[in-house]
Amino acid sequence: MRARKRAGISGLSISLRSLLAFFLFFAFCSGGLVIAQEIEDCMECHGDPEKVGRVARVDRETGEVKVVNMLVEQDAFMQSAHGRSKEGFVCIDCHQDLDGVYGEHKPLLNTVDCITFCHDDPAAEFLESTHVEHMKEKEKTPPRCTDCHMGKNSARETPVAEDAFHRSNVNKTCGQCHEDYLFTYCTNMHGQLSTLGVLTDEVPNCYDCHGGHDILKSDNPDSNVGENHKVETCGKCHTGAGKNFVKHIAHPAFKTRKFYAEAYKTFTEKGILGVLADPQSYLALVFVLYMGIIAQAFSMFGGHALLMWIRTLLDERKGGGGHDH
Amino acid sequence: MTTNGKLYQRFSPFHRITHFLLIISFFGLVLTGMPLAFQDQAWARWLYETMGGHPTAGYIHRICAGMTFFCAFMHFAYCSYLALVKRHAANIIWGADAIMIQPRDVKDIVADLKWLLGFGPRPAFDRWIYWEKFEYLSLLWGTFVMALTGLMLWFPTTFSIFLPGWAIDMGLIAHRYEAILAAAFVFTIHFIHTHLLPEKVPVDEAMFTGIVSEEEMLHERPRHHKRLKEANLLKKYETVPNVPLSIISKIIAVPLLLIGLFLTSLMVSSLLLSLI
Repeated sequence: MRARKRAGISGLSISLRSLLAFFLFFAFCSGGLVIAQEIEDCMECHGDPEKVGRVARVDRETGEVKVVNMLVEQDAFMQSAHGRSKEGFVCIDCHQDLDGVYGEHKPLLNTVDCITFCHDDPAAEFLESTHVEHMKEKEKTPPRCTDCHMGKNSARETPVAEDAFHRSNVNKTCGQCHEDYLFTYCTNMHGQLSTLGVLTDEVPNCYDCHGGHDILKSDNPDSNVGENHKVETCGKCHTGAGKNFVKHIAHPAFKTRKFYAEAYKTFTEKGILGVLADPQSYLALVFVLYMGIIAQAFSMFGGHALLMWIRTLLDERKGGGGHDH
Repeated sequence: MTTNGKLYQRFSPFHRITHFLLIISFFGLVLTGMPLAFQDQAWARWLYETMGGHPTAGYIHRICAGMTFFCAFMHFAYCSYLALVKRHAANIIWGADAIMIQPRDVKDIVADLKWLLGFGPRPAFDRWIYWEKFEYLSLLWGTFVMALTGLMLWFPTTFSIFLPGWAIDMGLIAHRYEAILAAAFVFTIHFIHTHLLPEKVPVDEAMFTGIVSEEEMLHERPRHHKRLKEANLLKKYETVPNVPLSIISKIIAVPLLLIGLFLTSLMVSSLLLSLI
């Protein structure tokens, strides 16, 4: 029988939490007042396609009205980290504004607060990271926990970074916003291998080099890929990596239009030396040269081979193999 | 190949064996390397897994690279043998028997173009036709580039002792596009020149059996035939048919041809799709 009040307390340290539970248990036994909804109570509607299969929803930011499907897969939840937890979390533990609300509820719930009571530990790092600071400077909404973490849909008990399942999702997750960087990463050896499905820690994903909650912009010397930590970060895999090695271009841009547009801009402003100062230009040069060689080789020899094929056939028809004799 | 008429030895066992090793290593390298260049294609993933996936495909790639190094080593050892022991150094780079480009080749190119466009007879080539010389030289250059950049990618930290990291990235780009160039060139142009012309299809066995008929020789390289005849050397190269080797070469060469053509069609279609 689950009847103790959970909302708001589950994130406190284990000892504190059990202590509270202990008190609350007595509070309940002595004719307690607090009765919370079970998952089944919520599933009465959220498991019924007729009731919540098509409901109107107002977008929190844009105010746009959409018809959405609010069905909840209870099985998926029970397989997730929260569902499997010994704490036995139920819906209202996260959707706290529904505590004590029965039947139909207001259409737009409050944003789930992952941090305040439960995950305050990684959040402290996250709040100091570029994801929050830089985006606030730019007056954009920083990503929320659930933008990266799958929350109730996660299919693994422990969301450890080493787990192949989670590793397979990292690049996709970061790529939702950082499309350009995912593309340029795939232009390089690391990305080539991970796209082919090599998910072990032998091939780095975004997280392995850039870090997670504590991520900083790469031009910040204190970031994992910044001046102060580069050698250390590359050295995790490449034993013996030194000052020269870390001049590696992890995101070659020679396949993006943006690079050429910017290189042209640099050229008009600073001249050819400005362009040559960026090693990306050398990569682009090799690429353009090879495209030229390939195009030339195949147009010349392809044309030659085609003509030869036709001519041999014509000669054979005439007989005599095309010789004068 | 017609069996009536005289047969001549065109390639020595040394060249046939090293060429065969080169075929094996080249296919091994292309099959394990090409998925990386076309990583976003479903066939690339399938091919990568079929070749053993990570890290097996990588090991096959390195073993085949070792085989290519061995072939290159054998080739230069052979050239040194010709130059130092047989004292033929001049013949390698100059003259009718040389594989290096000669002034005569310019005439041949003009004659060939005339023939192709229908303004002249089929040109009389000598021992090496100009496009064969070009293919040989591009193989030398390609092997050099692939070996150098391949070693850079194999031992990046060692190379970073004297090269900046981005030079190794340049190596990756050169390795990728030189590979695409080499694979597509061999699987189309080289295959057409040697095996797929209407008079040769499906396989020109000369590189496997080493044998060429007098008829073929007169058709393709009459100048070479004339030279040998005038020097009374034709008798020396006369040989007998080798039927088992001829059958084996067909059995091996036809599937390899098909694999090569199939891979090229995958590469070209992926390239075209990526442009859309």
